[in-house]
Amino acid sequence: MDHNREIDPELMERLLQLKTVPGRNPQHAAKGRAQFMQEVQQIVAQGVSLRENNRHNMWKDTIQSIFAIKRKEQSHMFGIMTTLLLILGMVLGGGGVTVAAAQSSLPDQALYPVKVWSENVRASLVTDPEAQFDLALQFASRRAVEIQSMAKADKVAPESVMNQMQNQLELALQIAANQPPGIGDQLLERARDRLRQQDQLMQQLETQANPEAEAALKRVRQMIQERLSWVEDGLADPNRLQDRLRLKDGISQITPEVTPEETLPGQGSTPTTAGENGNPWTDETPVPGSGYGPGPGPDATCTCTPGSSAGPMKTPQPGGPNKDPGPGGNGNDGGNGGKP
Amino acid sequence: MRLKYKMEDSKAQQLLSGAQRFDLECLAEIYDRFSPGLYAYAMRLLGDTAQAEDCVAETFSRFLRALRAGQGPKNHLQAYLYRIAHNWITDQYRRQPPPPLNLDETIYEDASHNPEIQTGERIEQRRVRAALKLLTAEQRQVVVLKFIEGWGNEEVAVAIQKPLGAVKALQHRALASLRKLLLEGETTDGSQPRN
Repeated sequence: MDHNREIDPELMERLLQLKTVPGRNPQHAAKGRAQFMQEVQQIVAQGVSLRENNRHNMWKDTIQSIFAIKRKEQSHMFGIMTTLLLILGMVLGGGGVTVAAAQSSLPDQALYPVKVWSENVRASLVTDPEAQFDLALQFASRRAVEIQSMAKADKVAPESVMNQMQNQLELALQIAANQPPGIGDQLLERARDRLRQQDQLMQQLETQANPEAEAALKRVRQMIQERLSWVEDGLADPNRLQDRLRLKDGISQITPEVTPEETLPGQGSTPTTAGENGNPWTDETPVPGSGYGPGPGPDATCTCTPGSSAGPMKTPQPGGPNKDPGPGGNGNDGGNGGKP
Repeated sequence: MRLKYKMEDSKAQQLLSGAQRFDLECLAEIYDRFSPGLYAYAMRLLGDTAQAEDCVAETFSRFLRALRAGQGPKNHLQAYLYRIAHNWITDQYRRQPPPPLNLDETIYEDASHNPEIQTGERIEQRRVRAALKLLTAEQRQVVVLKFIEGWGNEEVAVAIQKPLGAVKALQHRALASLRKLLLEGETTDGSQPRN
């Protein structure tokens, strides 16, 4: 290989002075070789398998090799730190990707608990009341969207989703009620606008949904309208909203837990926030046509099975859809469900 | 030349595979194949037979320890061995006092007390070695491997684990320094050979 063009000839001549070295002493060379081979044989005699600490660190080497980390002559600590950082990055990065992916999940999907968990974490990190209010409203809207998405897919959202929506709305109202009048009114107006939007969306979907989903949407709408009326009351007189919320809390506290064995036939499980008339979404007088409360009895087209444990979300089967159950109930009304 | 290099590289790769299995024949062949060159390399930079022998012994010992630990080279065995040797030599340099800025004075003075190095050639060797010692470790490695050992740029790049461009930059700076140390110092009044 000709490197002469890259170097001053005179300088090259000087460097080549080192080219000539005295020959190696053959005895020294033989001794060196013998020492080397002796060292090799010692290692072979001890067993060629890797030393214990290296065997235990094999996972580290494996991870490094996966990521094609170039192994220069690094310090031991550098290798350990690199590996730890890689693992940390994978855990945090992977977790972050999972949480991000979960944000669009629906209640019947595997990642949904991650979504709820991430919301809880997010909510727990917020201390500013206005931000808490916004988050609560945002999460309530998410629940509404989930209910709507499931209804579009001819599915009924689980009870827990509706409860979460109600809880988030009430939390938002509670925060607004605790604010000074000026700020509280602004927050309530925002809540009113949001509730109206949700109510309209639910109403539009009702006509397209199947009977089960329609019944669920009706109940959600009723809950929304009820909270809307609370907001209107609060805007007119903040004390009335406070009273409503206090009353609601009081009812929640004094309502005894009903075990499944105590549940009346056809009533199903009783939500912890159940109203006095068995409708979990209201503690007021049932609205005629809402499908709750006392009425003339089930529709003729709806046959209720005695002993059915259908919950408040389910329309008794068979009997087919009852688009307009009329005043009185369809078997879901607490009290006479299961009676012919 | 390229074909020969590839064949040698292929053979070295086979030997390395055998060494990783602690095949005695392969390890012995590796020693026989590379130890003369490593000895010469160490001699050129250290100028001392005992130190050169130590360098060879320590290079192969570290190589064995690396294999034992499941590490060591995956390829480019020659570059790996020369890198170990170079690091050992650099450590030796660090333990020694730095050479004087004016290379000539002390070397000639020292030579006058040592009959072994009184020939012109040996004095010149010491001078070149002292100049190389004043370079950075990487500059020295590039100059010696390329211009004395006769390696190509790619092989040098593998040995110092730097890209090709870095090798050229190191070479450029090293040669500029050597020119000042070895040539300009001689052509001028000799009072200031160091940059």
